Amino acid sequence: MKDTSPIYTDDVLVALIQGSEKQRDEAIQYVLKNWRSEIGRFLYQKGASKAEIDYIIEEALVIFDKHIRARKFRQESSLKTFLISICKFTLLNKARWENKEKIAASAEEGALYIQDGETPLTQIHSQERTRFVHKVLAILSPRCRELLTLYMLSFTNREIKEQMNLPSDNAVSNGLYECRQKFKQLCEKSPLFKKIIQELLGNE
Amino acid sequence: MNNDDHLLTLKIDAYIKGQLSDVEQQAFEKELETDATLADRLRLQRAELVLMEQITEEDLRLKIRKWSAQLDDDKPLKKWWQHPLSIFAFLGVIIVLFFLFYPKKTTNDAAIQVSPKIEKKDTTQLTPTPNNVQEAKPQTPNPKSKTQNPKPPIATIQQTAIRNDLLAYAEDIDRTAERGNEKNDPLSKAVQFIQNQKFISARNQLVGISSQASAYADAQFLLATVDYLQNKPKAAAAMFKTLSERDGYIRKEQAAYYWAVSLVADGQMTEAKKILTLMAADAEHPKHDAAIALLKLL
Repeated sequence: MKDTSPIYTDDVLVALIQGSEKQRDEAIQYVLKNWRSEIGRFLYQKGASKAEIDYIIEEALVIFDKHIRARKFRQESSLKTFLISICKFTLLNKARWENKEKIAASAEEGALYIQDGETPLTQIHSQERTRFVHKVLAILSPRCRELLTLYMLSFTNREIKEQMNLPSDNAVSNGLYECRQKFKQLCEKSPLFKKIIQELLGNE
Repeated sequence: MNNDDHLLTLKIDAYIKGQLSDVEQQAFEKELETDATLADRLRLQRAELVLMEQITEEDLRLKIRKWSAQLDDDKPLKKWWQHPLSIFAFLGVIIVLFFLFYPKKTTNDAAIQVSPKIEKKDTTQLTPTPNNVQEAKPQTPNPKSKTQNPKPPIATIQQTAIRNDLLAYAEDIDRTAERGNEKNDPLSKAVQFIQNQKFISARNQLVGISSQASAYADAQFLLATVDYLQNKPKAAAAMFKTLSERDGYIRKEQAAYYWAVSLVADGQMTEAKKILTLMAADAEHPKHDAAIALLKLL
């Protein structure tokens, strides 16, 4: 069957990722569909296993999305090169974490070093926190999750209103407040949250 | 909804995200220095935001996992012939089938020696060579040979008849030939070797018989038989011709017939037909019927 999917330039992809959630999803899906095989082969050559490749691409895409939305991608290289260098960084970190020196040495060359104190990668290594996030995700309603996600993606109230088909900006504001309160209550109830706060505050 | 509380929440978020203007930021930081409750709230909200960020990321992670699974499902399945192992298996099956159904050659020396001349002329079905007779029994049509016609049953019968005839004559010679010491008689041994298709041993026995001996003509007949069975029709024809012209030899008519048969095997059809026609015309000839049958085939 002939592939009729559009071909996006780097500029279009960046604009889509920085756009609405639907547009971001479209861009990430495009990247996944068109670049995954090539990046997978590259990681395989670096010594990553099939399971590691899937994990690394997943983590790298999360960082990739975060950096582009935060406008940290300065277009000094192509988007694909940028994503590959994030993959190298992720592989390097994972290998170091698991004491796989050979793979770490292989991934070190050309890896993009992300200097954030709190990267998704360092977060993911905290298993307790991941468990907590999953628990919250299970408790929060899909509407609350979407609202909070859009808010965290720095969408304005108007954009959230359009995205979620809400009647007014006030409805967005009220919904956001309610979800935020619910989230706060969930956090306060959890003994794990205090531990996490201590951990986060300790990093400051 | 507590509007003031919500506004404060948004303000703290904006401070954490660095979205406040310089003036607003300085004012907020001054407030933080004096208000310990606000400072506590800032710390809690910072932790909340980190977790909310992680929830956003986890949400994307789940989506990526779902899309990856969809992409894996959408991968077109390879056709069976695109798998290298399938190709090897297919070739293996072809090879096994080839060896199962390919006609097997007999291992005796008569069967191993095949006349290239006869193969070239594609007269194997018509020429009554003993080799062809041997191969004719188990033979299935050779898939390699496109020009080879299906073997007519009458030819097979004829060839088998010729071979059996010659072997019967050999036995007859063994039974009736004049000889001295029967135990070590080379003629008798030669007949046994011929029957066992050990033609080289038979020839060794026969060449030792002196031209002066009484069994000489029979030895010549057997040698011609060996030549014929060994697919040497030219030599056989020459020998049978000599015998057919030998005065007083009791098997001279038979020798004449086998001369003609050997000529057919050698591809000399015109001369063979002449001899066979003469035999066919002579109703008294012992090979009258056989000559007519062979002529029909030619």
